[in-house]
Amino acid sequence: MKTKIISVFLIEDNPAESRLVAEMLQQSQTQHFELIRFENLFPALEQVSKLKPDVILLDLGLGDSQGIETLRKAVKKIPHIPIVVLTMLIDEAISLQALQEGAQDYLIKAQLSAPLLMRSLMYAIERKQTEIRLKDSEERFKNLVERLSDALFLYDEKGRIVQINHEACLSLGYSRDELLSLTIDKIETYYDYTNLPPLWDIVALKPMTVPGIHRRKDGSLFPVELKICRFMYQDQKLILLQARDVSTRKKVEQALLESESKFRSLSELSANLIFIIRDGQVVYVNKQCEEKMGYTKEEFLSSSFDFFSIVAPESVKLLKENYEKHLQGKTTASVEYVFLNKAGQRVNVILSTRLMQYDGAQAICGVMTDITERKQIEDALKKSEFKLRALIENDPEAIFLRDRKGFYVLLNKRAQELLVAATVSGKIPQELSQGLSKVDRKIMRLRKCMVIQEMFSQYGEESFFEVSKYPVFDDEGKIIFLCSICRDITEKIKLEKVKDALIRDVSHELKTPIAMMQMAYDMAERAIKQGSMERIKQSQLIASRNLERMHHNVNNILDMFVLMGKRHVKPHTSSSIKKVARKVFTTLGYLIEKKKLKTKIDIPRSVDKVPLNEKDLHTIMYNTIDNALKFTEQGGIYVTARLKREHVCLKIRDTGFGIPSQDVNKVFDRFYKRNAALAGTGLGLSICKEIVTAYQGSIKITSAGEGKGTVVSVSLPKMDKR
Amino acid sequence: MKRVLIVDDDINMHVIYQDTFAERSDIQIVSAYSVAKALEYLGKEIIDLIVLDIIMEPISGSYLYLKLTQDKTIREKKIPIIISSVLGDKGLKHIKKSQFLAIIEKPFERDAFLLKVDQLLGNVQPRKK
Repeated sequence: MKTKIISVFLIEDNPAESRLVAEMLQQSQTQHFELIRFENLFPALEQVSKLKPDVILLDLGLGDSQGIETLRKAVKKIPHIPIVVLTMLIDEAISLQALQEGAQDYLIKAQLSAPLLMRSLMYAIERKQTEIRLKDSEERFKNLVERLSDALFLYDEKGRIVQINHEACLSLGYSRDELLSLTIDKIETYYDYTNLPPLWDIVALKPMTVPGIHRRKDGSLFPVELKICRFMYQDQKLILLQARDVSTRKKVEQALLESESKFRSLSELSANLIFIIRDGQVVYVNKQCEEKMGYTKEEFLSSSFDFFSIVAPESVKLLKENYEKHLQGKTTASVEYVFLNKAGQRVNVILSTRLMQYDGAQAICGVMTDITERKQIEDALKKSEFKLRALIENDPEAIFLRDRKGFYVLLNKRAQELLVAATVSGKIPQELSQGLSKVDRKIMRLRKCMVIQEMFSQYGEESFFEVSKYPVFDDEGKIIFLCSICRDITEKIKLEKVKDALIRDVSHELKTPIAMMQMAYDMAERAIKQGSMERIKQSQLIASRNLERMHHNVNNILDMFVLMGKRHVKPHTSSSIKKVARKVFTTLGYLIEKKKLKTKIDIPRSVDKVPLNEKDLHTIMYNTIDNALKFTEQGGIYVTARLKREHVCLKIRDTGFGIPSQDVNKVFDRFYKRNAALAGTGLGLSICKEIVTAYQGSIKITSAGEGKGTVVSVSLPKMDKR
Repeated sequence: MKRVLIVDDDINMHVIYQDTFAERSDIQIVSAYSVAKALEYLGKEIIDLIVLDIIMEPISGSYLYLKLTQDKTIREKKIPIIISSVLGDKGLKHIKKSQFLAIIEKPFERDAFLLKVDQLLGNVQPRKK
């Protein structure tokens, strides 16, 4: 099987010999050769790098070079290519020399045969490759040994050092040649080489670890950790000693180096600004300093950089004082300063400084924490607290904050007012006073909000309060405060009372006429049985009067509901005041008769007609006259109407009790009654006002005082002339 | 002859009361149309029973009731009272019950009313509960 083609350079100046070699190579059955022929050495060597021959056949006697020199030149130029030398029989001495000088083989021309030539070439190639591989491996191994951080010593059984590495020289302070001339006992002092059995007998093949002490060239000693093993090499007993320096100096140097790099990386990673000043000069700044202050490291470290130039004016004095203290060797506390960055913005910092040794001289190390953001947040917090306080202060509800024992912690304005009022009027209600009430204890036990009602007098007037009490917790869920919020519900309670009264009044007003009609009916029944005409008439009269009253009351109540909505005024209507007034007097005639009152209607024709719906006008007249009747025991009721400017002025005057002056403004309020127990819904005048206002009129009530009668004046629009 | 003072501001009610007592020749009615008038009668006449309306103008019947229970000279007379009002028992919860007081709701039946009158006048014993 033919494999790779082997290319052969033949350098031979005799053509006959050259042809002979070519013929021999062609005879090969198993290997194919490619022969390139040269007559001189140098043209051949020039082609080597280009054609990359596998082997060279070299005749030593050439035109441009003679003898062993030819080989030397070739080996020097192409050390990696195997060379086989062709010689004459007589040159045996030269042939042997050729092998020493780097040739793989030699062939004597006279004995040359095809198989011999072929075998020689093949072997030459194979041997050269092995040689190269071996050399490479040794080179790599040597490299490895040299670079080891441990010192290596190889010595024979007599202690003569035969091989060492670079670290061995470095650790002991000898040169390589000096060390190679020494024996191991000059260096390694731990083992007694003279009295103890030879090391060879003690150590095994497997490395053992023992402590040792090495001596440097200057005589100083240092501890080492030794790994010793033995091996045989070409019948020679060799001991390998691997020494690691374990002295503290080494350790300290190592630690220092490590700590320095640790410090640096830590410092660079730190969120704080870290710097070192020595002799007033910045000698170190970390990355944060550059980022926060806007200066580059170079700017900081330049000799023209003045550290105090980046301090805000208000901080300069304090910082200089503390700097002086440091110079005197004193320590200083952490202080808040303001610095200025390159852009001139203020940077709030807390700076703590410390004296330290830096490169052998005293220096100040400063660590600054940027609190600008924290400051801003603090300010915002203060502002928001202020807002909150203002809110609480001005809350219309009284807010009491008390501690766990019930003592006041915070009272807002309203709460203080309440306390003053309560103190002046008598006593502070239990739920608002200091100390713990039953309710307070319950709240603390249940940890829940409770709402209670309190009533107390404020400057003589009863006030009702709804007090919401709840516990205030801290982050851990512990109760720290008790908060009471006190809401004035007097108005609400009053309104509820009014509502209750209204329901009672309305039901009274509706029930009364029904009751009367019922009893009139019973009476009529009995009268019919007895055949008493007089009684039948009486009962009929009672029924009809109460029917009327019922009608009026229902109207008033319906009106009240209309009041809640919007009253609609129908245009183009007209009613006669006189007619309506007469009707009302007739309806209420029995009451007038009972009290023996006089009535008078005085209305000129020109003002009689007003543009009001008759039902509305009736409501006004009925309510005002009914009112007048209620409060008049003697005298009379007088109705007059006059033209006043562009309005009709209607007056209903009575000679009754009049109205207390303090109540004059209240009479038109819905549900106003002089006395809660009085009959009526309290709606009458209120309804009147609504109606009059809807017609763009006005109503007012005047009284000369109690017992001096009342005048209700109603101003109504005039009838349009068209 | 017993004298019953009727205090009511509604003229119609007086007609009803007259009809109610029409067949009772043993009872004489004294009519007062206001609290003021009632007090006037109480001051000068012997009254055995008062029938009192509550919601009245201009002075409420409650005022008279207070007078009757608080005024020493009147209280000593121990005059029984029937409060006759559309409010009834429910509407007059705040009034303290006593053996001299009965509350009757309008409209009332004549016979039931007369029974109450007789009980308070001592003509019949009240039924035991």
